[in-house]
Amino acid sequence: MAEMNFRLRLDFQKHGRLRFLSHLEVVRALERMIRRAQLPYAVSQGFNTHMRYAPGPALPVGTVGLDEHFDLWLTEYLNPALALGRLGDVGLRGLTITAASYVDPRAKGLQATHIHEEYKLVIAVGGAGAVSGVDGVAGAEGDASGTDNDVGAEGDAGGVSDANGAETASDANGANGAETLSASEIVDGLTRVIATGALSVRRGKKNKDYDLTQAIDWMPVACEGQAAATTCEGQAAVDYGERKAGDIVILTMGLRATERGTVRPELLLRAALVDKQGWELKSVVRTRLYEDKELEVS
Amino acid sequence: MRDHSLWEKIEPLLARVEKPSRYLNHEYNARVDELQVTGVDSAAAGVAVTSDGAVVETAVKATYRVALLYPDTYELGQSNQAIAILSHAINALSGCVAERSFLPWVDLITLMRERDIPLFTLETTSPVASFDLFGITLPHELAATNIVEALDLAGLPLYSKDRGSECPLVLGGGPLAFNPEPLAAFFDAFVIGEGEEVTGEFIAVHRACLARGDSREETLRALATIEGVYVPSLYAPGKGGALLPQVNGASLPITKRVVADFDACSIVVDPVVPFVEVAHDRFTVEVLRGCSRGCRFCQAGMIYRPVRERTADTIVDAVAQGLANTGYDEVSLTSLSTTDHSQIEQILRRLNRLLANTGVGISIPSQRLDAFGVAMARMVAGEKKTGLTFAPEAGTQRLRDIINKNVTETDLFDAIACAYAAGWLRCKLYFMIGLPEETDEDVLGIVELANRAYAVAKDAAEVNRRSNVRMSVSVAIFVPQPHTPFQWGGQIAHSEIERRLALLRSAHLHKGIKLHWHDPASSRVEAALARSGREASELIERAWRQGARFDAWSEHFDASRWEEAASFCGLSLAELAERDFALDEALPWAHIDSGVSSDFLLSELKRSREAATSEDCSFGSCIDCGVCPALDADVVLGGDSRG
Ligand code: SF4
Repeated sequence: MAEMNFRLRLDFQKHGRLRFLSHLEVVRALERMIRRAQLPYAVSQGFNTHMRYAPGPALPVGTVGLDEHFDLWLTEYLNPALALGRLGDVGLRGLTITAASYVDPRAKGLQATHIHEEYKLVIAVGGAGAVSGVDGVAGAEGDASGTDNDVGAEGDAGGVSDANGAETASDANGANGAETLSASEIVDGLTRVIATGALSVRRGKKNKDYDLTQAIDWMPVACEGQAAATTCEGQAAVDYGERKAGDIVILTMGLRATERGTVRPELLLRAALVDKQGWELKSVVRTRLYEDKELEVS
Repeated sequence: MRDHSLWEKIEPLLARVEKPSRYLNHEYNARVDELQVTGVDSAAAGVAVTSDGAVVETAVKATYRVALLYPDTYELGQSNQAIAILSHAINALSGCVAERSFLPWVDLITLMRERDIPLFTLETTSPVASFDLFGITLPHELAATNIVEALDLAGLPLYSKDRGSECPLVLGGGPLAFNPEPLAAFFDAFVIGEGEEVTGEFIAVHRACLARGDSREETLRALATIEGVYVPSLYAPGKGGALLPQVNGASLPITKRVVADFDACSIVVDPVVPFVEVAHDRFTVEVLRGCSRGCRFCQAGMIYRPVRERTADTIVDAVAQGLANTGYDEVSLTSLSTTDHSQIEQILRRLNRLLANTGVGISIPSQRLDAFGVAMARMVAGEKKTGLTFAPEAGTQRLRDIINKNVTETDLFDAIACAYAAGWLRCKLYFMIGLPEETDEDVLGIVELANRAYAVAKDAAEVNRRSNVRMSVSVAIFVPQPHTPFQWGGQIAHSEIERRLALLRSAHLHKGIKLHWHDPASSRVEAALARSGREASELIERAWRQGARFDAWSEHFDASRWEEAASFCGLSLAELAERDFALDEALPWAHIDSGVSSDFLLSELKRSREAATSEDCSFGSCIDCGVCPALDADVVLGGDSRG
């Protein structure tokens, strides 16, 4: 079909309040934005006519995305800069289209090609407000937030769920001077989990097993301090406002999607810190989402 | 200026609740400006004291702020037009802003209560209690406990009499306001009828009272002088139970308001576009208001009279603008009976042309029960032939005549034949049991009619698809409603409902037909609340204290809470639901005038007993229901004549 020749790839960010959108909600919001912008989108024929598009890998409720992608088929050529401008005119604060460019219409879908994911996690450690990690993990397992909307997401828990059920715990014992967790302790914990090559996570009554041997692109790196905190896009300042330097650990890691999806970084973290107290995951950001280099070469 | 936003407290909770996108605001077309006013008493000129004791200057009189609540979840409330229409009307007034509020889901309510976070509005995440006016939509009886939950979560005293001038005025409006008495104790005032215009008058009077520094009592009296506004505290029951004014200036009856020119009444073409999937996730145009078919059980058909249509031009323009402003992929033409619009064919033809090749669909909520209704449905269905809905309401012609549902078996079978021949493979049929004068024959008639309709469907469907022909039958339990010809008689006894349901279930229904029925226990609570007077306020409060809320959600409804509440109050649900009123008795809602005269209702009741039908005044001649002269209004059709 001639009209399928224009495949426009939109790069976008999900941040601020809108990080709480589920994958399905993001897709629907983009779809509506495209209609408002009156881009010459292609419509599938047949029983249920709908806009022709293909979203990238799902981003869970609560996770910020800074390098997300969405492919849209157009019936005619439209200057990408013009498309970007028109989307900007009818855009949403928190779902920002940052770039638009044409890609090979015959290329594989985003979910097949964009299997490399880089994450940044912001962890509050020690001090008032940081909570017991054990309670956090326990609570998070019972958490079902957003799953019904969360198509494609591995997500058991919506968003930054380690605070789940734990805030009361923090009120009670968070401030009693538990030892501050250091960046290297966190990395050591993660290294141990990754070295086992597998992760088993309770989801309701069942266990979900992840094979970690293929799931890690590059090993977690952590740094401490105030400077890092200010670079955490998408988080309200209030999350850090009352914290002193040294209360924040920034963790970055490279993950890779396998046939069975991507292991969520917060699951790794929970497993790594299962016996540690006094930490709270403040934010999860998918900072990059990119293609398999080997495929790029071929 | 001090920011009273609760967002900082809400945000950390959102990772722990279902569907956090309900609480974000920031949807497209939502107002996201920062909080511009303080929570100070807007009556004080010059200086005012904030809640934490700081003195701030209020050189310009503070904005008048209205919080509008739909007493259920975001998904239901955001789909309801009431909040959108009223916000639009209020924001158009100079110096006034309206903000949306919905009842958070139980998970967030629990977290909020643990932390003393009060009910908030979406736009500025402000406490509802900090507003000048707290407007609550009253959609149906089962929302009663949610209203109490909302008042309590807002940190307001539940009862009007316990609220001082530091509290917002609590105003109710919507279908339930046509019998406001069960909720009377909770509200400072009600608006009866259509809110578009009267809300502006209400606000003007209230602002003047605030500027003068009127007491609460003076304010309520001033508000009571507005036509269509009912201030329950100014009335008390006299001998025989009828309400009597207690102060000068409060008069009765309260006559419902209607907008003078519905076609000119602006359509909200830039509604908020939700993130979370809501109940009606589409752009909506109300194409006509009212319905004059005159079904005798139907409250909507009585209280929204007279019929007023928007013209085809207005409707098509609104659709074009609304879709461009929202990006929706569906538009719904709503009303009580859309296919009765005198220009419906023209409207659909023009919309089809406008929306060709855009992937945008048109929907019509329910279908008129005849071949014409199906023809209209065909015009919008395209390839996707899902969900046709017909409402024969009763299983036999005799009972349909009694309730004045003017459709015949032939109408139904014609409609079904057209639909299944055109490619539909499923449809829903709506019935009721417990209608006045219903016999077992009528109950079994439902099954018989459905079976025959199914046979018609099978014959009409393409030969190779016949095994896929499906139908569903949904049976509601009749709740006698105020302001209808059936308002005097009570609901049939609970045991009798159970018996008739059992009878229905025991009859042989073709296996291609699925039978659903409503919960008799919740229908009884509906009837009890619909038909009560002021005694029900305490019942509602008590039921709420027993844990009742989200009663319209079957997984949350628990009849025992209501039973216990009733016995605590010395009442009986059965009695409230089932009592008959004598024809000369003072009805609890007698002081509310819907425009339809009680003589008309009475004559319709009498005609029903003779199984005599009455005509639709939009098609036939005037049947003297009284609305047009009482409200100084007219039936307004869009242009072409009907037929
Ligand atoms: S057709 Fe009958 S049931 Fe439907 S709205 Fe009109 S009067 Fe009510």
